Amino acid sequence: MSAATQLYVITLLVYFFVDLMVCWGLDLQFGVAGVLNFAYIVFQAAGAYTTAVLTLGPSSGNGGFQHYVGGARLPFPLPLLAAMVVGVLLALFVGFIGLRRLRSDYQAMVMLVVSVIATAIADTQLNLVNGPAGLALVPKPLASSISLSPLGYGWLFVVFSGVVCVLVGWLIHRIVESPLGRTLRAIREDERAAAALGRNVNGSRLLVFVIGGAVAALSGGILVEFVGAWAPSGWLYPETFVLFTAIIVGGRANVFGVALGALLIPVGLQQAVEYIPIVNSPTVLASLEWIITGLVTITFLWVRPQGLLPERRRTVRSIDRAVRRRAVVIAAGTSESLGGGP
Amino acid sequence: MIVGLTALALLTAACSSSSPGQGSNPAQSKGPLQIAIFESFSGANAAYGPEAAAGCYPAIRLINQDGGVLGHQLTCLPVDSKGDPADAVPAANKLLASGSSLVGTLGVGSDIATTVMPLFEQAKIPVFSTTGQASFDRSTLQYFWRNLAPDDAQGYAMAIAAHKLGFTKAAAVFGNDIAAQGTAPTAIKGMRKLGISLVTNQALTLDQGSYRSEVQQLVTGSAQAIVSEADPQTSATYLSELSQQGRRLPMITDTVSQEPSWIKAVAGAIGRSQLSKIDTIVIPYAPMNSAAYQTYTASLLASKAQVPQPAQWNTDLYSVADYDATVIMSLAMIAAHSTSPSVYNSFITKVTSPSPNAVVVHTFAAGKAALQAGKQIQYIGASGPSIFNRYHNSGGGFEMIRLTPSGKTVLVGPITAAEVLQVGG
Amino acid sequence: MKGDLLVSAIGFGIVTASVLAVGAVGFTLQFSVTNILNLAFGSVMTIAGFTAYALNARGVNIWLCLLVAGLAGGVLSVALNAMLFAPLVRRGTKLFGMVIITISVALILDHLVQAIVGPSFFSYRVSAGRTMHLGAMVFTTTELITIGIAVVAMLALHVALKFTRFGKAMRAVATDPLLARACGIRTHRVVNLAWFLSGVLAGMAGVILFIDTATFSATTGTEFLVIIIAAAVLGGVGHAYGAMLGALVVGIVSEIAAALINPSLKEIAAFVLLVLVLLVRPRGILAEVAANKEVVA
Repeated sequence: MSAATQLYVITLLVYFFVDLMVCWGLDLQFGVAGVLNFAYIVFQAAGAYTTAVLTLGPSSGNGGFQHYVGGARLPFPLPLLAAMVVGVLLALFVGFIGLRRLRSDYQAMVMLVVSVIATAIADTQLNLVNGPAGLALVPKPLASSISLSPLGYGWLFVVFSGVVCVLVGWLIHRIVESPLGRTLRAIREDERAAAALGRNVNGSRLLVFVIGGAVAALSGGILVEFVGAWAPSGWLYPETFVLFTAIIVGGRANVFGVALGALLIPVGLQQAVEYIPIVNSPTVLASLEWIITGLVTITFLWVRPQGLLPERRRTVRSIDRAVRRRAVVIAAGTSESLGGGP
Repeated sequence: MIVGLTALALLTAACSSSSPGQGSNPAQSKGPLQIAIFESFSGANAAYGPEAAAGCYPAIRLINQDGGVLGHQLTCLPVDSKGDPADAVPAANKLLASGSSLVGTLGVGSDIATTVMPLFEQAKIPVFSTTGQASFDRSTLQYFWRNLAPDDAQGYAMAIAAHKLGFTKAAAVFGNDIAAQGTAPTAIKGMRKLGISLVTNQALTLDQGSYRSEVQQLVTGSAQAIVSEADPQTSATYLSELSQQGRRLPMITDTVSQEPSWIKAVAGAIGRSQLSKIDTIVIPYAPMNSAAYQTYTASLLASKAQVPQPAQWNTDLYSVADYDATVIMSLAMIAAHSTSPSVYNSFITKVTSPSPNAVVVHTFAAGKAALQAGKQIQYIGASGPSIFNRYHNSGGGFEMIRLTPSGKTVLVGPITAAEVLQVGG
Repeated sequence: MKGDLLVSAIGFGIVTASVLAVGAVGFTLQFSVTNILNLAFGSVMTIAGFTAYALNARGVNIWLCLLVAGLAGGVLSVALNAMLFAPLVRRGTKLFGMVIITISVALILDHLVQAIVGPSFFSYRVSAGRTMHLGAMVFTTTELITIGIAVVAMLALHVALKFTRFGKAMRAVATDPLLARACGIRTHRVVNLAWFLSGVLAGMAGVILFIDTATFSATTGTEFLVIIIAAAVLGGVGHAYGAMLGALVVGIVSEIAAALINPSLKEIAAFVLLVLVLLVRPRGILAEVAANKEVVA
């Protein structure tokens, strides 16, 4: 492989690991717990900005052409940890506003609005995180203390992001299989029934909101350390939609399904679209990418809503169901789920 | 999975390159050479890409007609940066991995320049960037070139224009995006220095449904003119609401208001005749009646197949600069007797610098002929001379123009480089 | 001076609110009847707006184009439901799934328009007319017509919902579809009517938005949708009068914030207000009133 090709492969791999992390985090909320968080990308953005600002140093540095608050030069991996803390705090704040007793689609609407507010704030408050221009020249972590060629450093970064990604996947897998996971699935299948059984609906939801927020923030931090820049144009609300598509295609609430989805949609589809023989117009190509993403989503929800690798049927699930039937009588509510399955 | 992804990437790299491998000399294969147009073709700045394409295609049309460069034909390769750093990095890495037929790059605008410029530098591919960011004024990057005025000089020139037109009270109305915010600070600084009092300073949030409050604030002040740069939609909405208030304030704008998308949006909103009455445009000096400019225009109009509605780019200085950039790179390759980017890069100044021995040429064909005759050349293109300083910037003078309703350019007056230096220094 | 600025800001707010109200009521009306959160609403606005452009560019009067655009929006909206939304609901796709479906449709439609018209900007041929001063408020003739259209549309809707058979049926379906069906109401027709009316309002909102911004592109409609949603959520989703109230509040608050504090806070002020309201009343201002009065339309 030539050096340039290696750099390209490195980029694809890091992006894949980052996408996989966010997809897992989002799936914990959406696939497992049934929370439709249309502001998910905001948490990634928060992590990216936090990491950037805490790596860049004071705002007056770098010729002073970037304006932001809270600049500091913290050693690796403190900026990433700080990003996770910010992700947690933001999740608590947003969750407190939007996660309370609201219908799930109503919640989705509130989250959509949150996503747009966040972009509006970053865009219009020019001294917060440098406005629409965003932050750039974020130094690569430890680049000066590790004497490696750009390629060697790149591969090291691949290993680093891969290890973090596997850790995140393992954590999420543990949560899904734990009693908490069971509670979350019960809430997803029937919120009122779960509540009737004494499960803490709001508390559990807020918990996955916080975990997902921290994972997204971490992924954003890793991404910005790799890319070196971050701007509002990179986290507009349709970006969250792409992650949903990945989960729906791969198979929600299935760790491997989500991994497959992350490989096929954010990484694979984007690469594949560029090989569609069409008029020499990148503008049309960019539109086509979105059109295909939309069509894929609709097709899957129509034909195979459970995704390529469906959620594993659990014995506990049948218990959940029996419980639900009883609980329906108690709560006299209507069940609410993605539907489409048997 | 990783294996699969690697295979995908390899496939990608293999598909898009005929002769992979770094360092191989493309001159041996005599295959076509690629000039990449690395710009936004989608997203908020989607008009930037076609604008650069309107410079690249007319240039390679003439170059290929004249037998190409050292036996190679040239092609333009549009690559969408999506105007976002996180999208641009993989796109740039992919482009650079696609093989050695890539010899140069146009575009790389403000939205992504800081992030991707180091990647091109590392890959040793010359970039003629359209970024105006002042942070590149003293760039030490070897492969960075800018044959357009930087934003800060543009801002000073606008202030000088306001002064020359006799205004003593002005309003600064700039979009909050990176391009406009690059120009705003020096425009304001310059006006203060020249004794123009700043009645109001507005940073407009882009693409809002209305700017009535901002317009109201403006009309209640005593501004005699607006000094402004904003994107098409923002300017159109703002100016439409201003004209609805019954006020016709003169405007001083910059290169952006020569772009067809801006003209279309604003003329659609307030009418072409009103726009031409109020707007004075400050642009880098580019003699539009020169032979070089006419060569560009003729080739542009003949490039209909690659450039839809070519006439719209006729006065767009970004397109013109990209046209010149393509010719300059091609002439540098011929002068260097090499299409290898790391070799010809240092010849870029050799075909553009003034020298007593140099033959002044205005077209690729003339330049090629002179070089083959063993002469030294100075290319003075459609955008005027490109005399690069040691930071690879080529700043020069400006001029004030007006556009007539039919799109003709009327010269109002010059602003010399010395004047800009005096205010800026 | 400050007072004049406040009064004039209220005037601007009323213009913004008129555009918002037509959109927010259309958005919420269909939602109350069908329970489908239609994020493709902004795309219907865009397509109707471009339909009007196609006619207007050929010399048709803009106000006539407005009517045609309304009709086009209505037809598109009914077609989307018949061909996509309704079959999916029958296949068992629930709330979650439908939100994702409508956002998919929005992306597909917006980018189809983008692929066709390109990244360019368009304007209607419409003259702003004379400028009128009402105290410190300033309106152009076009703005007054816009306000008039909104008021007439709202009144017509009020009369239709309150006094016609279809209106009563619609409110009945919104309150309890099963009970409504049991009472012999043909819910299918009511649902179609709701999609149609919502589409008509979307189409009209698209055109008056595009008149208001003076210039528009393929993304203008969807960009504005979130503010429409904010107004609808603020008033209480599914509640037509709530949507009107929400539109007025969002329009006026954002303009006042822009005039008195800082223009860069315009959108943010509206959103912050929304967050505050949601903290106190998670279902919006009028939702509880609606629940008590059983008026959901």
